[in-house]
Amino acid sequence: MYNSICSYLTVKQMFKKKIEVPIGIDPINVIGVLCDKGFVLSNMPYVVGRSGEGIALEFRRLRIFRFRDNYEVLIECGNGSARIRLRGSRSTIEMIYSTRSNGLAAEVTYDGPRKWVVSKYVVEIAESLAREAEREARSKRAVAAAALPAGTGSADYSAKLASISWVTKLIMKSVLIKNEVRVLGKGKLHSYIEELLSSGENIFRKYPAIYISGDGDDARFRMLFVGGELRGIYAVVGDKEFFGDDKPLNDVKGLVKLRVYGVLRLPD
Amino acid sequence: MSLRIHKPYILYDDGDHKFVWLGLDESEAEKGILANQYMVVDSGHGLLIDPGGYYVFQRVLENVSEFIDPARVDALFFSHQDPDVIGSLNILLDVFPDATIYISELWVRFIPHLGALDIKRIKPIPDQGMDIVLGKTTLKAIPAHFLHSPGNFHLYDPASKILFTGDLGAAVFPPNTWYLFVEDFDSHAKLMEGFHRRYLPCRRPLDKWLETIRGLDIRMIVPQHGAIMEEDKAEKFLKWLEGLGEIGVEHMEK
Repeated sequence: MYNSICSYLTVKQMFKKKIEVPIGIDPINVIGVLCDKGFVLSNMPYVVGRSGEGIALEFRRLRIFRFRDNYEVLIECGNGSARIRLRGSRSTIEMIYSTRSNGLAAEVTYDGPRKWVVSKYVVEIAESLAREAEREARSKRAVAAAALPAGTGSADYSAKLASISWVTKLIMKSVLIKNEVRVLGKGKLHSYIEELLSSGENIFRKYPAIYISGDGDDARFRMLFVGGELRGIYAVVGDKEFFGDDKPLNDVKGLVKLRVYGVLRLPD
Repeated sequence: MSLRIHKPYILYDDGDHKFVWLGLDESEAEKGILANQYMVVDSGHGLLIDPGGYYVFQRVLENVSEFIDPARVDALFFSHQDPDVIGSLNILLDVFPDATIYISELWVRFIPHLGALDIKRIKPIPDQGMDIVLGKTTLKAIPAHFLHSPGNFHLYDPASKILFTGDLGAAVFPPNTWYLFVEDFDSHAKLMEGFHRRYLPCRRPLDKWLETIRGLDIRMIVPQHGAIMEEDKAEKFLKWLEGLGEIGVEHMEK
């Protein structure tokens, strides 16, 4: 018994699995993100330590079993694939990503002790890195879109409103002037906003821009008015995103929580 | 090189109840005092603990969303009024529309200065502390006044037996080094000493706090800065505080 426990704790065993991760954008862009060592270091799950460019990972199962190792992160890229290798003192984790027509394929390998504790996590790591890389690639695309000048010559902030970091900067430079909950029927949001903007308070005179955000039953939205003109709409209905289109606002209904901010200064 | 750990780590999970560390971002100006943010999830409801300033906000929101819909965040617990604790209040109120703010009654009157004028969403914590119900669990806001803020609370989660201790347990890491769990308490204590001697005002509040928490069954101590202390390390930490000697004013006068 003692011998079998000792061998379980120390003997190296290999685990190998092939997985597929569906991706909603061109997978080559996701591979590009996975080749960025800074991205991999920041988005690696189960990290419990950093020393320079080395990381420590710790895996726990059932509050009794633990495995911890310190790894050097090595990345090789080329021919539409990315090989991420974590070389530890007691174990090695390797993920080889390649493109498929609708996503990524990944070959995941673990070589080290306590396979029973670690194997479930290495698959999760491979999937998580791919998902985060997709999110990063989408975010880069949105930022690029936001940088494009609008056809009318005046900036369209719709894509920027999709970026939580930009909205964070916007709210930092704003004052909350109204926070309320309204029961709105389908298609009634427009009239609420018209009523708000034409109210006696004349908030447009007080603030150079007005930001409105709201959450309804199955939809949420962000709107930006600059100098009294609507200059950006971002809406999410169900799991679909809409940019610069006011039609989805008709779907905002039910108990709607609304926040109106007076923007003191627009972020860059 | 700045440290960025953008994935959460689950500290406790029994299926219905979770205690989660929400990642890390280092700004150069922090000089090694990195801020931790945490979330308790019970029966699909969330409570954020010291969710932090603006520049960590995006990562906090993304990591919260891995576990629950932001609309299910019922509560924001602020241990005190420092910018690394409460700095992102305005955006928090925006993205967590149903969240109630829990903070010491001493600081409620100062919150409008952050631009958050919706006083109805604030639940002041009285000096003696209070219970905070989250799903099926009752969390306890434990008085920790003057450690270091005059209106200061820690949070105890009886389901996970985790005690959040705010600035108590803060450590200053050397450049390019960070770890989540304390492995070697004695070497970690050296990283905590300077902060505790300078940021805590004097000995008496610390002794009073040690009395207050004595009856709690603690499995893990999770500070707002520094590293997490589990099991025997948590015990060693409490003993270390007992034996710390003079701190704050007394230490400076010396």
